[in-house]
Amino acid sequence: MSNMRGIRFWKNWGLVSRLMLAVGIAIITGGGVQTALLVAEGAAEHSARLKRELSETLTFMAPLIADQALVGEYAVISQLLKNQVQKGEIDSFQWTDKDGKKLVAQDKPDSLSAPAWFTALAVIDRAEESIEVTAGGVSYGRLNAAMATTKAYNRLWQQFVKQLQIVAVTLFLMLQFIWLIFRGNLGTLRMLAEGANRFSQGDYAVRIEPEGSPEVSSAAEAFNNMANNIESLIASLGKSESKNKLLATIVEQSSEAIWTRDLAGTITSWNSGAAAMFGYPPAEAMGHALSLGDSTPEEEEARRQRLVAGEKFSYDAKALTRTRTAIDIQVAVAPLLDDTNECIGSIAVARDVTQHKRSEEALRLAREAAEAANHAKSSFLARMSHEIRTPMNGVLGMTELLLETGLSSTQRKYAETVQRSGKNLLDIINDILDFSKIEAGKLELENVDMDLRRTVEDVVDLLAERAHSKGLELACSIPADLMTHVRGDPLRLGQVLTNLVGNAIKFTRQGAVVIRVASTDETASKVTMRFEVSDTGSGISPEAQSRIFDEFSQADGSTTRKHGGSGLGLAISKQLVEMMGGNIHVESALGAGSTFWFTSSFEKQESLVHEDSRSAPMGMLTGVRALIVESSSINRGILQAQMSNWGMSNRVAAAPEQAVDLLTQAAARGAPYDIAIIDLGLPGMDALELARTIRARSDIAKVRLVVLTRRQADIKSAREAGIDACLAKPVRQTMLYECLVNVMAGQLQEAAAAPAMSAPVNAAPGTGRGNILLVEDNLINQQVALGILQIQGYTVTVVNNGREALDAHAQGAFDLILMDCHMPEMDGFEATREIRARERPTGKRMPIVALTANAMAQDREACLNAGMDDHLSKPFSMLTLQNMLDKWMPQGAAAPAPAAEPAARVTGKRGGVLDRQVLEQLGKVLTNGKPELLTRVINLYLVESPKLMHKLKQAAGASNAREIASSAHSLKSSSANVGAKALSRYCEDLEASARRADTEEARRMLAKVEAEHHSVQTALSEEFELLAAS
Amino acid sequence: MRLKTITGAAMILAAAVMLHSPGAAAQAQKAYSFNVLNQRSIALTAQYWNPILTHVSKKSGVPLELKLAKTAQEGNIIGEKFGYDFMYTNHFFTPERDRLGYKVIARPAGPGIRSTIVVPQDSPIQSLHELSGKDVAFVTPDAFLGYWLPMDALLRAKVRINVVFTGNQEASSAQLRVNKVAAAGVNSSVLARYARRESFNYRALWTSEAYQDLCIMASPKVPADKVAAVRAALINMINDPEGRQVLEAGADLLKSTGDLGFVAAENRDYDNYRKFYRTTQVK
Repeated sequence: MSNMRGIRFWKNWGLVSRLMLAVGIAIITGGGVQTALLVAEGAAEHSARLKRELSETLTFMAPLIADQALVGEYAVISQLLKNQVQKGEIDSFQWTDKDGKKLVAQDKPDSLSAPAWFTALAVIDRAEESIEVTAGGVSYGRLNAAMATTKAYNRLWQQFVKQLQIVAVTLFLMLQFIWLIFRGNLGTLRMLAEGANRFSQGDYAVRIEPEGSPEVSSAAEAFNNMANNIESLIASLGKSESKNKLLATIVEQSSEAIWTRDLAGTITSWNSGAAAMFGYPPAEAMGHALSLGDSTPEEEEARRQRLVAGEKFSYDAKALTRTRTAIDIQVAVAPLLDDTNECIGSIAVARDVTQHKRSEEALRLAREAAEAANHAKSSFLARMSHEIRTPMNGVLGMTELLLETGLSSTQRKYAETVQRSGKNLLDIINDILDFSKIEAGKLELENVDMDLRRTVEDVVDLLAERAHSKGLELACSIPADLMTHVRGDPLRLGQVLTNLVGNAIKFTRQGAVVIRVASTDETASKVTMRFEVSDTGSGISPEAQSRIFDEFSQADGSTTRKHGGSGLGLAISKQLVEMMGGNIHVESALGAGSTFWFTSSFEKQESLVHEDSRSAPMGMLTGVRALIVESSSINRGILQAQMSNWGMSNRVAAAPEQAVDLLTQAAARGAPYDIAIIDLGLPGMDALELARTIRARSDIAKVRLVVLTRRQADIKSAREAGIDACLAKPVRQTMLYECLVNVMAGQLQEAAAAPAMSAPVNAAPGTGRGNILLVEDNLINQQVALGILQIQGYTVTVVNNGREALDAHAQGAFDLILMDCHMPEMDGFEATREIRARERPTGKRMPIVALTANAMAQDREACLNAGMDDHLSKPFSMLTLQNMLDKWMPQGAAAPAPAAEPAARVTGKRGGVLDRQVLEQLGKVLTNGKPELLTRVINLYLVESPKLMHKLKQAAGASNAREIASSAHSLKSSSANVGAKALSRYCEDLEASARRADTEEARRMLAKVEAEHHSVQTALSEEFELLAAS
Repeated sequence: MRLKTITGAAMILAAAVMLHSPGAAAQAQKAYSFNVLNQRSIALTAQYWNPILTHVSKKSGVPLELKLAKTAQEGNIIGEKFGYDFMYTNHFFTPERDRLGYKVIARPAGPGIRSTIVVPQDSPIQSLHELSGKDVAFVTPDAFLGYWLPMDALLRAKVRINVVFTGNQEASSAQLRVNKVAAAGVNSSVLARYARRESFNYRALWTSEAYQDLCIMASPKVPADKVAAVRAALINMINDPEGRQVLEAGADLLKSTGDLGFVAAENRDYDNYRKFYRTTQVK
């Protein structure tokens, strides 16, 4: 009973009370036991010590006593004993000598401080001992001694009391420490208990301030961390639960069919989407192994294996609904994994794609239909292009022939209008064709060697007349050091430039149109060029600029109507530029003109990648002092830049009077100008008047005069005015250079070198120039071509198809065949192949030029593949046809044309080798006053050209491409001056081959050049002899 | 009856024989006092001499009792008053004491002894004259070898030194060893034993002629037979196994390696002492 009470009492006690009681009992018990042991041990030690000290004292005393006894000093012995009794714990000594005489020393008894119970419990033995005092085996007496225990008891009692005091102090301090330690921590512990209670009752915000000892504070922190974790866990559980509910709702509400299966294929969940899609309510689906698709068991097993391997995949299938309706479904399947990532089934999401499949099918059909339609459109376009071009050829050709006949002025005006309208219509058709080709992605760019300078200058040449007819300046600025030998599509680049320059001329009433070309980026293999066409026209509003490159769009509707055109030009240009790897832009402001510019990348010509292909610096004019008399600041700038590049010092004068002043001042300084370049359209005083003025002044009359004119100058007037050379604007840079060199050279030699006097190419059409076989099935085309060729002076044989052409070719000797491609019985390709086959054993080659209304690039390819030499697209103009014939007619074929006004001294039998017109012109100019000069020029050629020929052969032998190019260039230039055009062209081809580093081809061509040179030499020798004889 | 009578008679006879044995007789007799000159400590002296005296008493039938004085002087005074029956000394050859009649009966075996004045081996002093004004250790004013002989030599060499008495031979040697004194006048034998024991190296400046060691003298008041018995017992000790054992134990005690035992001696063996005392300058 009392035990029970004690246990309950103990249970009610707090931690501190328990600890204090336990520690108290432990200390008291431990201290008591230790004290008892210490006392017992102390008593034993004292007993042993007393005995030991007694023994030691006697052992120490014995010899002292013996010494004194031997000499009979008993007083000393007595004193020794007394001293020893007083200072030690020995209670008494007694010395008894051998005669029985005794000496006793007794200590005064000490008082005993230990209580009787203590002496009774801790017994210290009283020690008594005696020792015999001997010396040398002789006994002199006995010494007795006894140890008193009083001091030992007192000392032991003191130790006992001290021990008790230590135990008491230890007990006190321990209890104090326990109290102090726990007093600070109990509060935290109580708060911890209270917090835990509150937390368990749902107060998740409760936290404990971590105070007290590290263990207690860390317990509080641990509680707080646990509370935080539990709180966030509860929060995330709540969120997770919400999300799960949401997910379950989404799954359930999803229109997609979602279901899960176990590995045996039994459906374990089935959402409403699945029920709606397949028609099985959940109750019918779940727990069953429904087969939903049309898969075979092997396919099902394969899918199951993929799922077990953890793969996710999707597949299309056909499924049957509960009502046996077939639907197309797209199923995405993923493995269903347990906590250990083991596959326990699958989850499938299916979508009904029946409608989608139907749409796809409809779309496919529609696309096929569209493609068919597009194909039909392309074919239609091609066919229409051909079909329109053929009648257009008739319209234009016939109009051109009509204009050659005698017409009244009204009739001529009508006919010219028809021709102009026809050309416009053809341009529009060409634009539409180009645009549709680009749109269809069928436009292919060429990538051939080209000279940018020539392409740009060709465009300028082409449009110069149109600009000049409007009173506009047309200038071109190409830096002399620009890399111009590149690979690209010269035709399309020219098309873009023509379009831009044409537009500029069209929309500019006065001022100038300038083309500038510059390099913006250059790598080892590529160069990017910037082409800029600026005008001084009306300008374009910002709004119009934003859509100017859109198709069928111009600056505004009114200009479209005013200026005509398809509105496709810029759109086509934009597309072409982008195809050439560049961009096109416009910068303009209303009333301030426009600048269209575009960039384009070109590959460098392979043979020139590793050498400097830039135009070689021309050093022959270095140091020449020139005065530029030009009213147009643009032209002034361009001329200045060119002349600076050539090393000439130059100065400009904007007006004739200023020019005269400058010339006079320079002459007065003793540093007269060598040459003056004068623009014909000067304000106030025209160029001829200025020339006369200059020549009339003795101080400045020696200056060489070169006139730049927009139209063909009256050479006679020019010569009379004292002008040395006359150049038509726009002036090609090389032409200007050569002209200046020649003028300077003539002056130095007091002989006018071949002046670059231009003359119309078709000024004097010849007759009987060669035999041409025209193969054409279309009667209109036959008449057009026949008319043009006859006007040109050719003898023409017409056949209707390829077979007739073969027959004619077999019978007659023709110089050239014009071959239509598409004809009945035998087309032009087959006929050409047959002709080439026939030619093979003979080694001869008849020039065959294709005539076709198809303007596609692949048509040209087809013609060349068939063995034709060139391709002429219908409709063609008289000029175009003439150029083509000039290019391909064998030189020996043309009989000399009877000149309307035969040159006074220019005759000869070798007119085929030499261009009669050039020689005649040269004769006219040079014989005017100084008849011996033509003889000298020819003699010069006869002496110098063999040297060039020799150099050429040497360079070819050494495969020195650069030297070949250089020599060929020189020979080309000098030959052209004496009218050896064919030789000049061969030299040009040779130069091109050399620039491509194709020395093999160059060597091959050299034979031809050499033969032609030989002919030219013979012809010129005859000319020389004739001239000399006369 | 007869057997009882015979047994009783035998017992009486045996008791009588026992009562007439020399030990019993000696125990009954008055013991003769034997003084040993204070050369060593009292305890060592007693430890050495008591076994010898016990043996000699037993063999001679003359009970001898060791009597030591507190100092040599005191012993000499007691001897002068015939307070001792036998003496082991060499102080009694001065003319005054020579006249008292003590008779030399035996001496320890071995050669004579010499006095010497020594300095430590490494001392700079090379002659007696260099001791002038320095402290020199001597045993006591009565010591023949430890004062009289060396002091006489110094006086004859006219060297004035500071006399330091040390009490005994070993003390003088010890003082010299620890450099408390510049030189010491000591018994050469005692010094040699000390030096061997303490590994002390020394150098002699002067050494006397040989004198016999201390001798055992008998008071003229002791009956001649007693003296003869004691003398015989002493001389025979070396030949007696028991005596020899005692002597060897004594030699071990004193760490002596000299001859063992005692030999007979007479007064004339010590005439050079007497002569020295007559001529010495020591006062």
